[in-house]
Amino acid sequence: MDHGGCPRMVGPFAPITLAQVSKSQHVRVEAVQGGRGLVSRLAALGIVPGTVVTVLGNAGGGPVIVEARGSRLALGRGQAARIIVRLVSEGDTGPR
Amino acid sequence: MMPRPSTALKTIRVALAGNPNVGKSTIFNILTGLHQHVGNWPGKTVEKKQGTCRLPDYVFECVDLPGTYSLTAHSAEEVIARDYVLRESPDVVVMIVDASNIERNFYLVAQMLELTDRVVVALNTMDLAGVKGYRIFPDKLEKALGVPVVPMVARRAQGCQELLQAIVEVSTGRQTASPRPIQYGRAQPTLAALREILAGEQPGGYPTGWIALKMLEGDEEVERLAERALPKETRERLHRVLLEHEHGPAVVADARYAWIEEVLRAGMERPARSVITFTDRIDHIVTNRFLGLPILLGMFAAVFWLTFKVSSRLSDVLGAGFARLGERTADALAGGPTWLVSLLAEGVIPGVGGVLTFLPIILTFFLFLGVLEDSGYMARAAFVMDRIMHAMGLHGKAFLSLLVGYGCNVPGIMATRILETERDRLLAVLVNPLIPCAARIGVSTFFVGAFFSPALRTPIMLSIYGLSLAMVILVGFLLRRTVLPGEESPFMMELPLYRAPSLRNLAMFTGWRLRAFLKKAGTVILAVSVLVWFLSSFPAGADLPQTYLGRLGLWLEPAGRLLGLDWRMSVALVTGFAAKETSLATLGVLYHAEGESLAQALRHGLTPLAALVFVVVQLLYIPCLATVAVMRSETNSWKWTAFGVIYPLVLAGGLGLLTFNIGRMLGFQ
Repeated sequence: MDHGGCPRMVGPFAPITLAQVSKSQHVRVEAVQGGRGLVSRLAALGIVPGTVVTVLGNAGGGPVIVEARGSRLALGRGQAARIIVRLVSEGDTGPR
Repeated sequence: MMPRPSTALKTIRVALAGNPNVGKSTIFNILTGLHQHVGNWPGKTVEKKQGTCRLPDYVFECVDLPGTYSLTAHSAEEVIARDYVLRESPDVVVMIVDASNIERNFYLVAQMLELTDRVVVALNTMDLAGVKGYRIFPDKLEKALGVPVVPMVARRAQGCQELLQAIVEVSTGRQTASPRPIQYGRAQPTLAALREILAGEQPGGYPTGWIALKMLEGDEEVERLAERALPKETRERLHRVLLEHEHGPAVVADARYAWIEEVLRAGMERPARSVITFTDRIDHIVTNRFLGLPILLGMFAAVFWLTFKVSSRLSDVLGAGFARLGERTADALAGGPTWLVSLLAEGVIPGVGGVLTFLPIILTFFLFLGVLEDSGYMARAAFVMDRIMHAMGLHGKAFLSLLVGYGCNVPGIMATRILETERDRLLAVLVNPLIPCAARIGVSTFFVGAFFSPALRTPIMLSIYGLSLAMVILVGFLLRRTVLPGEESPFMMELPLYRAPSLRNLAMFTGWRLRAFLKKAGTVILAVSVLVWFLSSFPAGADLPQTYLGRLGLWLEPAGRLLGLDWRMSVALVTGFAAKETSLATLGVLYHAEGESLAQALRHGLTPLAALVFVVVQLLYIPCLATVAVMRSETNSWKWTAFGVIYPLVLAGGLGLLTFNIGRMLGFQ
């Protein structure tokens, strides 16, 4: 169902890509794989390593909707797959 | 009151900067009102708006910089914004910030403060900050930032006087701006090393420190500048330092967000966890994987339906009005020269009047589009269409330009400017004319209404929309795989909070279209009406087939016959090149019969099959004159413009032939 692997199959805190995260889960960005262009464009939209991101929508295909630093973004699936993240537990969402 | 001598007036040069969709244009329009000038930045297809605003003692010369998320060179917009600030050094830069999205918006503020101290922060949409549970204290924020902060609600024109006051204070030096410095932390030693190697060099005239920072961020434009301006040995030393710090962009960005965090901690309170907003609830439904597309289609079907429902009555009234005006004019000028009566009553009034009856359609369409745009739904439409647009190698944002094309292809083509790469833009520009604009939909509606029974009309109109959309996707798919191959560009788009559309914005949006349309009616269409009248009236006293227009039609007849069209239809297609609306006016002249409406006259002269073929052909054949002109200016290439004119002609001819022959096989005449 989930395009590119189901998050429950990997350990809860193992690195996965943002494209694999289901709705309502919180993740911390570990790294952005891609050229400087992608890194700095994502940074301008609020996504840098260390940022806590909440997935608001992921239909298993098409773009992913996330909330980062209080703004709501649609990210193409290709871009989401280049963002390496780790799940964080509910209480550990700081620093915001 | 005596006018003050102009020497007493002090001129202040102001640049407005900010992210897209933060109300920058609204503020610019409130400040400058009608005293504005819209053009392009030199050599770029990016809009440049300038305007002036007066207070008793000051004149503010405002420039609206392009909306960007960053000042690193990703596209022409960012380079324009930063070059303006660095080279033209405006007296004050006003940073417009969306208070409900303050953290991310401050990223651009941080980058602007790397360029200049003379900044005023306009904290717009203060009303929306509350929706998110934010409590913002502008005075504390001002103290933490070190530059003036002005709370505003631009949609209600609140805070403008205070903004102007703050601009005056900063420009006169009454309030000294001393922004909180950004600590680059881990990047600090690297930046120092780069500065040392640069040794005061200023490639392109930019400050050394800023060049070092942008190099660390991997800014391509700055790398190009350095390539040209610096000796090889210096470049190699810089390169060695940069190689050791490949995480430069992330480290610099992280430092800026840490700076933002400090400022915001001092100046605002945020709820521990984000509040579930109205936006969350709506998005839950409209971006749902199953419901998203049906909702989008339903929404646009409603827009099209309402457009015609609302506007058809108005159009009828206008049409009847112009018919009466024609008769009155003929009566009033009864004693005058016959050519003049004929020119006015048979050329100008039906021609321009016929086109003006399209005005309600175009205005209502853009009004509804404005509602969807201003409420925030448009970004969701791009999101929902992203997967479908991928079929032609474009992403969701390209859909928005197609949508605008349903109103008029000229702004539709201009709307492709939101796409990031040249290749994507070119592709989106080339397919846009296949989207039937309001004029072509109007012509189609007229024919379908005249020739088909009410039960058939809706299915036929729906197939017309479907056919054009299918052609867009097919042509886009083929172009992407043949002449315009390339990587898909990244799709990243902000989804703004939903809000009630503002009347001010809607009035501005539709008012602008109204002016553009009236200008077209008063120039191109007036000229074509006179030309068609002349060609169909001379040589004097000749019967219609012997006039210049008739001869043109007879010359075109062999081509038309292949498609089952008579010479008058071919002539209508030719004059439709000037503006698609004029083809109906031309048919009005050519089929003119005493005591009959155009619909009746057409029914006597044409078969339903010929009418259908005409509808298909006029839907897709060459873009109109204005569209060709804008294709040329946006692609900056005659070659691609020619391509964009010729391929739809071939496509329309092919589909016309297909329709005609299938129709005949099915036994229609």
